[in-house]
Amino acid sequence: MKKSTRIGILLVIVVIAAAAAMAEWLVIRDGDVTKLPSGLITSVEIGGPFTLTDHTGRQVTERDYLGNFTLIFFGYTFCPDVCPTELGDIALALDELGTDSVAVTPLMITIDPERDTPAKLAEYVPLFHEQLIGLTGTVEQIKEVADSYRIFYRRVEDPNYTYYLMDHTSFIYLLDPEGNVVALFRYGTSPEEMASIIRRHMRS
Amino acid sequence: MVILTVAASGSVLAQAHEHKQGPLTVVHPWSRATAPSQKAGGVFLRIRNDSNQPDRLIGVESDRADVASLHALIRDGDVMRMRPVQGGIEVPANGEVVLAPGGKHVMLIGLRAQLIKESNIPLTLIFERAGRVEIVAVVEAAGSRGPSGAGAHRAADTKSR
Ligand SMILES: [Cu+2]
Repeated sequence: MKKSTRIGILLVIVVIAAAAAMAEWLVIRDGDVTKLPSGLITSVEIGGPFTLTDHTGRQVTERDYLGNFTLIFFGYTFCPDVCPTELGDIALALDELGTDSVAVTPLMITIDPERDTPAKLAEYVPLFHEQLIGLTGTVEQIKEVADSYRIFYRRVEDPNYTYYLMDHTSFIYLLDPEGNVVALFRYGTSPEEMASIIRRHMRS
Repeated sequence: MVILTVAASGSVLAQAHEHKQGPLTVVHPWSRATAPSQKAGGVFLRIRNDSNQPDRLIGVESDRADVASLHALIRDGDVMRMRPVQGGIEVPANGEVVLAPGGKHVMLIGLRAQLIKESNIPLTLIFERAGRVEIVAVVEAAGSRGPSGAGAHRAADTKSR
């Protein structure tokens, strides 16, 4: 990995930590990144161990995905806009990678475990990509993994509906084959950009 | 009155289509395929107004869902919040408004049936001046970015046919 890339990622990580400490959710603005003192860089970790259930009903941990690059997106199936857009973009990024895409495992971790059962995820994930794996878990398991990835989520009830929506952070993380977070893609990152960053990490 | 402008071949609404009523033209309403038990969907479209008077989209109806409403996505830092639109959506005079992913959409909550790729969703848009406009949205791939945007992933595309 190029040094400048590494510093960029670390800066992003620092901002995440700072924001997480200050706010009930993560507010990360691009301007903040440039203002950050570089001394803070090393103190924060993103990600970590998890135990979840995949869309086939199998219990999995982070170790099951080591050895491959991993894309992790947090979302929910009731989501009509952001999540399909992001998952569609992940699929396009994998297309863009061509045969290299076999070295990438795309994961969608639900932040709505109460509705997103393995069976529901099993219907949902193949709509986007044949490699996409859906992960769910108990409320506690999801809270733990979302916290470790600095993902904010909250149920939003509307008195007019019997259904609820979720507010949530829309990040896609890239993990290297050793399980380290090496890049973060914000909402709006183009599939081409995602693919080129993934490819750069594959070569480094 | 509803005028459907449809390109020659293929399934009826797979091509760009529009609905004209008075000065308003609703251009290519579209949605995304859903999984069988998925209960929500979004409809996206463009509204052109060729009049010197602004209009306002104030409501939407569809018998395909328990509730149809106007929603906006609010990007708050990196947190995405979806909220009902208060007071409708203005369609400027001699201008247009776009409901697209990442912005505003027609929200269908409590879908009564799965949205299958290339099927159609009839909807009624309700405008302050123009009144009720009947439209038909076409269902595209689940991960589609829209009719004119980048095509959806190929494998998922063929799979959901
Ligand atoms: Cu909505």
